[in-house]
Formats: sequence, structure tokens, C-alpha cells
Amino acid sequence: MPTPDVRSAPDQEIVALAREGAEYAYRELIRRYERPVFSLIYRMVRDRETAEDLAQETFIKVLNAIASYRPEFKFSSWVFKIANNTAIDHLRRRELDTLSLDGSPHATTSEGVEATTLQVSGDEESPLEAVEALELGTEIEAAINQLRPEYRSCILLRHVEGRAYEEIAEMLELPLGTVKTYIHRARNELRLTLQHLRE
Amino acid sequence: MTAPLPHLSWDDLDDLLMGTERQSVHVHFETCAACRKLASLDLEVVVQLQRLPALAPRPGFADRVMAGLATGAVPIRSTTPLHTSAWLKAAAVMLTLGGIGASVSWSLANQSLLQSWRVAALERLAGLAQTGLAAVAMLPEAAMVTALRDSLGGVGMGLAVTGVATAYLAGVLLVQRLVALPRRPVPDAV
Repeated sequence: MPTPDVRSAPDQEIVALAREGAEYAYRELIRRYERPVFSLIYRMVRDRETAEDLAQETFIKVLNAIASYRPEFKFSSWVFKIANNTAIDHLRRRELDTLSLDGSPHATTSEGVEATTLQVSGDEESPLEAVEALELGTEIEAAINQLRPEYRSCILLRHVEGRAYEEIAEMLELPLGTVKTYIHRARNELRLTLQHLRE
Repeated sequence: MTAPLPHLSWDDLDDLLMGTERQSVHVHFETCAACRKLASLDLEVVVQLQRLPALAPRPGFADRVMAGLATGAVPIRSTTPLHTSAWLKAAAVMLTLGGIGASVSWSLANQSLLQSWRVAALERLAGLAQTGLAAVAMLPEAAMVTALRDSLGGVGMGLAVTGVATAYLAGVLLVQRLVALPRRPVPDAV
């Protein structure tokens, strides 16, 4: 029997079919969200292989928990919430130092601060950072890499995924004011980094 | 949170992006180059963010997800639509109940026949048991067993018994492992 065409069906309808265990519904949900989820995670963790593993983990969590999803909330918000949590958990486990113009927040000595202070001229980038910047291809991508994880996820959800402030606050379980603060600070840092790179 | 410059607030910049800014902001831009530049750079940042491409995982991503998916509470079915599967289940249940009903009805209608079969079966079983017991009683006197006992001796018999017991226990453990249900970890959702 042919698989029903569900490409134009709303998310809630696909989710209902997925709850019944229909494999084609599972695949349709993956097809709809694989690119935005992967993009968000990739820009958070900055490594393609890791991003694929984490994106896969995200969808497995989503589909395993589909029975407990509450339909009164947007399905996309739920998916992005799980994706963001998965990426943040990975970053915490890896204890990556987010490069900051003022050095790592975890540095405790002056040598540590100097070692983790971002060199924005570009000539002193590490080979890995240079490859990543080239791979992503734009100044803005390199600037995003410098943001703290919480700023990064907020700015990506707001201006790349186009989510409203209220939706982001719900997804990340943060106060609305905190979300606005994170996004404005992130825009401020991106603006300053771009300005500095062009001077 | 402090505003980037004394003249504009972050709400003003957000309003500019949405096209809902106050008229007074435009009036201010006429005389403040710094704020014009700030607003322009802020807009450029947002435009560049909005133009970032959606990145894609390697081909076959959905297959990898499905392969890694634990069946959990809702087992994944094939693409058979729901209504057809329900009819098949209903038909199987009806068939089973029908078979049971037919068997019970026939038994009630043929009780004397069943009784005669039971008696004949019991007599046959009794005869087999008698024959078997007689064979076991005569076993020690059988030439084959006498020869075997003589050749093995005490130690050999002990080793043979140990080997057989060990093999038996190993077989029991293996069967236990094979029939045990697999335990799946339940992943955390959110």
C-alpha cells in the first residue's frame, strides 16, 4: 500500500500519526526539521561530525518522547528546545572555553587570560579556527563563534530561525527580559567584532 | 542593561528592525551621525544573520536516525495504514474464538467417543511404562553396560559424569541467555 503524502500536512497532524507509530510520519518530521536543527547545533558546537551526532541524538529523543509531547505547544519550539539543550549539555561536558575579546571567563591567572584572549586581526588565529572560519565562509559566522553559548543560542533562534522573543523564552525556560538582554548583548558583540575586523 | 549609546535604547533598535520605530528616532538621526552608524551596523548584523544558509547533515541522515531509534513505548510499524491493521487483528481474534468455540461444541457432542479415546490412551501409556521399567531393571546385566563399566573404571566414570554435568549446566545457562528479554535504556526526553 502506498505511503500517504503528508508533505503539506501541518505538524500536529504528522505528530498524531507518529504517535500511532507510523514510520512515514517519523521520517516526515525528520525531513522537516533536520536542516534547522543541524544548523543550530553546528553553529553551537562548531564541529560537523559532533553536530551530526548531536542532531541524531536530538531526533531520537524527540521521537522516543513523542507520546509525551503536549499539542498545545508548537512542535517546532519543542524540537528546538531539545536541540538547544543537547548542544548546551555537550558544550558543558566538553568545557569549551568560549573565545572572548577579554579572555576566557574561566581563566584564573594573567597568563591564562592572555592565552584565551581572542586575536581579532585574523593573522593569529589558530589553524583550526582559520579552517572553521573558511568552512563557514563569512565574517558573521566567525563572530558568532566568539559568543558565549547562551548568547549564541538566543541570537541564532531569534535572527536565524526567526523565533519571537516570547517563544525563545518559553523554549529556553528563561525570563523574557533575560532573553532580550542576551540577544541585545550578542548583537552588540557581533557589531563590535565586525566593526573591529573592518578597521 | 545599559543602552549602547545614551541616545538610543535597545527597544528603539528593535523597533527600527521591525519598522515600528517612533518618529522621534528619525528626527534624532538627522542630527546624530553616531546613532545613524550604530543603527546601520545593527541592521547589517541582523541582515547577515538572516542570510546565513541552512546547513544540512550528510545524506542518509533520516536512515541513521531510524536505525538508532529505540522502539520504546510505541513500536514503529510498517507503512500499513492503521485501519487495515485493525481489521486484520479483529479477523485473527474472531478466528481464534471461532476455533475454540467449535472445539468445545464438538467435544460436548461427542463425549462417549472422547471417553473411549481416553481409556485407550491410558492403557497404551501404562504398557509403555511397564516395558520401560523392565528395560531399566535389566540394564545392569546388559553386556554393553558391563563392558563400559569395566573399561572406564572409577576415575574415568567420575570424569565422564563431571563432563556431562558441566555440559548440562552450560546448556541451561545458554538457553536462559537466549530466551531472556533485552533491556532497553529509556532515554531522557527533555
